[in-house]
Amino acid sequence: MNRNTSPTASDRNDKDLPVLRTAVTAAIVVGCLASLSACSNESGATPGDSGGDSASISFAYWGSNEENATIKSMVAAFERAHPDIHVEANWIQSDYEQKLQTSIAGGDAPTVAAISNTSLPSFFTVFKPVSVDKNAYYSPAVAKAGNVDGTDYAVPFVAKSKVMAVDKTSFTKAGLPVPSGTKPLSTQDFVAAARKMTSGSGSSKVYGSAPLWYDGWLLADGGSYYNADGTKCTMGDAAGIRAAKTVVDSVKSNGFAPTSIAAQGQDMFQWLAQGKVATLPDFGPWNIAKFAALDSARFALVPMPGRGEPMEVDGLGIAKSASAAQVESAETFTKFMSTDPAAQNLLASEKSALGVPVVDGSLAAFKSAAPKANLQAFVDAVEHAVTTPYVKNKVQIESTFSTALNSRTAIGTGHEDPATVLPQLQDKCQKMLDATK
Amino acid sequence: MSEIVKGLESLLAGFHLDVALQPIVAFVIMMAVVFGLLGAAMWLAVRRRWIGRATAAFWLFVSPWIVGFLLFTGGPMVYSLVLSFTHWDLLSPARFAGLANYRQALHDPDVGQAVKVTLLYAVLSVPAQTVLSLAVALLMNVKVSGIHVFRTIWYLPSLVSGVAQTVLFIWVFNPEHGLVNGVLRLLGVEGPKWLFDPDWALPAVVIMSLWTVGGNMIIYLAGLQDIPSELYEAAALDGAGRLRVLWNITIPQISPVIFFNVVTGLIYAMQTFTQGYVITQNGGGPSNSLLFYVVYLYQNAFKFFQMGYASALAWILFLMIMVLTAVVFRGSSFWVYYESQRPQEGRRRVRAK
Repeated sequence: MNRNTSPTASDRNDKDLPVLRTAVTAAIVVGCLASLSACSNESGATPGDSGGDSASISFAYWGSNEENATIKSMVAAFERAHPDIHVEANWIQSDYEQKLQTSIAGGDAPTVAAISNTSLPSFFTVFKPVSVDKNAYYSPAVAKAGNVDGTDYAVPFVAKSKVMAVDKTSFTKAGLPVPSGTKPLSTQDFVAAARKMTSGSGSSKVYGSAPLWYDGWLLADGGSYYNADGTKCTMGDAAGIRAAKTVVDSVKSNGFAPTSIAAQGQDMFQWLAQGKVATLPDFGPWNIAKFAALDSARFALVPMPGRGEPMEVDGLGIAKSASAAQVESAETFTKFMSTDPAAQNLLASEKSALGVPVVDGSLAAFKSAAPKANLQAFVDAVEHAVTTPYVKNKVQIESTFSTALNSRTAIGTGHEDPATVLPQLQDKCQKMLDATK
Repeated sequence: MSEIVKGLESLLAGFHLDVALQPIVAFVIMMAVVFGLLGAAMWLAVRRRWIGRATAAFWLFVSPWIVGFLLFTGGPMVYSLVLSFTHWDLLSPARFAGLANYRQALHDPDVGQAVKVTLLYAVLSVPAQTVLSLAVALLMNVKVSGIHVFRTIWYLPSLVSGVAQTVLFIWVFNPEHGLVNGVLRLLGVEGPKWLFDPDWALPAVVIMSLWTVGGNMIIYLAGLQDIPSELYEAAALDGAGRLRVLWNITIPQISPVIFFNVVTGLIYAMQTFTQGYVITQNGGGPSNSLLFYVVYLYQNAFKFFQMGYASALAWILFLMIMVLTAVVFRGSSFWVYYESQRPQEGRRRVRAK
């Protein structure tokens, strides 16, 4: 029998050495806690810093498979041009912002992160101020896209403007002229045309338009979420109410667009190709390759009606936690991605398009991705895009507004009158906005 | 990364180890060192006779769990408790906030809505799942050829992941193109908008939850097959009918199993996330009708960048679950029958306290 398990030894241990037993237990707990602390993070250095190669940087971005391929080809072009700098590409396919946020919180921030102008107000505190050459870009909206409260935090590298795809035969059949490829329809003309092109009922109904996106239509129709300096909520004013009423009317039984429920899970691009909708507003550049496959005699790209829709501009931010050597490499990288034709020319191809180049010299390459399509409409939309002001807590304010608007009015599944709802929501928005000051 | 991890990764890079493997290998090395230290401490303690071999073996065998618990459960829990007293957007340094987050939760109307939705879901879904899974288990507890096929069919939906199941039911409940309203239309009934109607969204999710009763059914089936056949024989001799047998033998005998399923079902119901998140992402759940508590918690943490507030919400949820579980446990003394416990004993124990 083992001596330590004999009653005598065991009793002795139990009686004589309780303190030591406690000490051993404590040692185990301390050991475990040591393992925890070894995994904890204090320094916040960025990846690419541990391999001994100070020029190595990491680069996080999001996108579909095709967009990933496009960005990887741009990174490869950079590495060819700068063989001394290695870029560790980190493709985050889904939940990009959440993963970026947690990696930053965990002290594992990528040296360079792609960030949209809509998300930048939430993230700018983790980025270093950067130098943006305003003259390098053909669009003032692009040049300002990485600016938060007067400081540039991201270097723009791709613009995602919106146009409208139209079925020309629907216009002709309705006795309407096909919209111009350069001059936008007025919002009133668009609504009138969409009504005229709507026909039939039930499952065979042909709609004049795919569902209108309220946020987009608000801007197109002359409204906005906030005033020019971002101090007042303005979505409840006359333009906001008018835009909301247009969207609500469009989905009534005699309206010109399918309801959100009818459109749920449906591919509107497919509906356009099949002739179930005559126009597809809110048409982004990522659809260019699909559009190029359609019959160019029947389908065309034209500007969005009115003032156009809000434009997303993706920029590149450099982590504050990056070392000096990494910052130097990152600045070289962001400049290359943003302004070098070797990178910008790759943004669109026959297979996929990430967006519109931000430098003038690459626009010809962009348009050659689909020579028969009017890609100039995307470029025009970039050039004339309306910029939105910086608003702190923008995501929470707009999420709260959007949930309430969709719940209460027929823009979503509610029944209340937008003229009643919007001023109330504007008041709520204003309170949230004031609370951030 | 900490200096230790960075040092290890540099060392591994020196060995030309693939970059992708460096973090995991560094982690394995750290764990090996921790367990090595623990082993050495145990060896020393045994050598000096501070503890017995059996005790040392116990600690060594249990240490993977302890390390895992501290690393992946206990540590994050303590950390989230600390965070709940701060304002932290994950990007800037945290600021101490005292009880502000808890006070905010008390006055937040969305928290009230989230609690209402979650409790209502728990109150509706747990009893419905319990009754249906028990009924199915009773049906499946017969000795006929091919019964295994039916049991498998009932269990199969439980293998479908939450997201896939939710996406499937978004289609099933689609008011215009969905299966449910399609069938109702054939019967001349115009169905509701289900997930797109504030009044029907939650009932639709409750119905959805019944699709996976197969998991509980298996547990009930195991309990049913464990009931001694003598009890049924004695009941038959006494002339008991089917309902009498069910009420006086079957249900008391499997009451511990029912209790287990109710408790775990309640805890899962309080933690419901996937259904609410996926459906609202797809345009459903209007008027916050599917704002489950954990969905709201997630929104605050990862959408609104309010990690301190989200941590406070997490601790409030933890307390709510603890209280509800404690209530169910206390109530179990009145209806759960244990073979090893004399009748009325549990009840007396409750009263004594």
